[in-house]
Amino acid sequence: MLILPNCILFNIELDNQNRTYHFNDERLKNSEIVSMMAYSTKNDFVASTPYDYETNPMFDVVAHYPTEVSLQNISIYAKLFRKGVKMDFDIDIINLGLEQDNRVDFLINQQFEMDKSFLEVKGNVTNKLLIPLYIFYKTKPLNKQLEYNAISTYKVTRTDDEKTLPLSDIVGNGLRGKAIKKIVVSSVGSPEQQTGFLDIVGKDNRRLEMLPLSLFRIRDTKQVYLDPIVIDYEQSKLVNFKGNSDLEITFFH
Amino acid sequence: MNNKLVSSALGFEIEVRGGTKVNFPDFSVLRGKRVKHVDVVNNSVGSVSLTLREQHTQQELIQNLPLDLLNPKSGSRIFINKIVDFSHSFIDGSSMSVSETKTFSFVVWYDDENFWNDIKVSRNRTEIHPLEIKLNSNTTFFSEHNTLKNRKYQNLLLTFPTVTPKGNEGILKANADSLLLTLSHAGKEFIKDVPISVFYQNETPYPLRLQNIQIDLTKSYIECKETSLIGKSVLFNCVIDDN
Repeated sequence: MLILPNCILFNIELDNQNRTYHFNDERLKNSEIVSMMAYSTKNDFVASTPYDYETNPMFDVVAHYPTEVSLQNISIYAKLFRKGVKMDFDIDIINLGLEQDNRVDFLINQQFEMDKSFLEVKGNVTNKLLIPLYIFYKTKPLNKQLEYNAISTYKVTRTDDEKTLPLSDIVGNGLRGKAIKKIVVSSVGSPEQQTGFLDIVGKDNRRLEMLPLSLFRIRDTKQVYLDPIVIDYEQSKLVNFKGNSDLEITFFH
Repeated sequence: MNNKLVSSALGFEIEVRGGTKVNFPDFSVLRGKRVKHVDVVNNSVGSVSLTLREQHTQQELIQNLPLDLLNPKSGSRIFINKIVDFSHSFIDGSSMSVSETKTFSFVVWYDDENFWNDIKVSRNRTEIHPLEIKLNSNTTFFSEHNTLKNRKYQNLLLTFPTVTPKGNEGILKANADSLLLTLSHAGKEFIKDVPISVFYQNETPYPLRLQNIQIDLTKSYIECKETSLIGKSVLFNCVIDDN
């Protein structure tokens, strides 16, 4: 079970000249890393990114790393350091697919020297790579009171063109002041492909940055909860939503 | 949670001819052991089923369980929770065509108190480290690994990198069923002949939960059925208890 306290999205660019990426971010100093997740796809779908790299011609490859990895004969490893210990893994184990939650649940729950920690590509990079990588971190113990009293579901109408809208346009005033403990997204009608991101800002300034909708799809074996958060619905957004069926977003509070 | 903690495993193959029922061998290592899960590694199993007889009651408490429910990718890693009399348990191939013969690859996960360790869940801290094995012959023993020595393992996550951390060529996903893993501790092979494909868990809704097992790396090995794989490397990402 993954409980999400805060999240930073790193849009990591790698090529033959820039083969490593260091996690320099002040927010990670003195914070405990809860878990990490890469967002890419192993099939024919292209995972769009929340930040519009597609419009930038310098990127031949947009965020569908494993397919390109096999084409380019490369592999990508995360290396995390803390005193006397180096953790090291193939980022394929933390990769979230598009259609369902393929992520392997593993909890790190450790502090690292993140400025010394990095992502590294091995092999010859023929096209520039963009890898969206999420780091979940906490600055205080998690609130594990995750029982909910009420559930509210809101519908977002299908759209062929990507659209971004504040969550206040979706939920109105109904959830103001409520501590949200879980979000589930589902499709109305056929389970067709839907893409998009939830950018969640808390009233306490916590941020869960640009989380892909596929992370919130129902998967009873790999539950995802929020460290209870009172959401600022004006600041929070559904980003780049696109789908050929309506989307339902359910809030547990 | 369907997937239970496990500490030991035995992998084996059984050949089934259409129209017949085939009993399991009397595996001495499984006698008196509580079976947690049975995995069927084959991708396509048809309508073949499994019947398990419980040792104490001598009753068939699991009857006609379709094998496709036992595939860790598509099934639900059903909790068996029984001491099984394997020699009176069987695979039922009566729905197969009589001209058909199929080999099924099983992994029986079971409890063995000699190999499990307590898991403290209060902090839930883990480390993760790569364990790379370059296949050098039909049987490749692991090298000693300072970071992994005397540690407690909660999972071994197999991945298929094109280039391994040491710069070697990795095996492909399609090769994984032809490589068998044996892990040793305290002079016993407690995970024996298990196809490494069961350790690829990105597509598995119910991943493995190893009960803080310990491994003597230099006595553990991978057997390779395809000589073309010699020279390539297997990469496990080892999830290690750090509580």
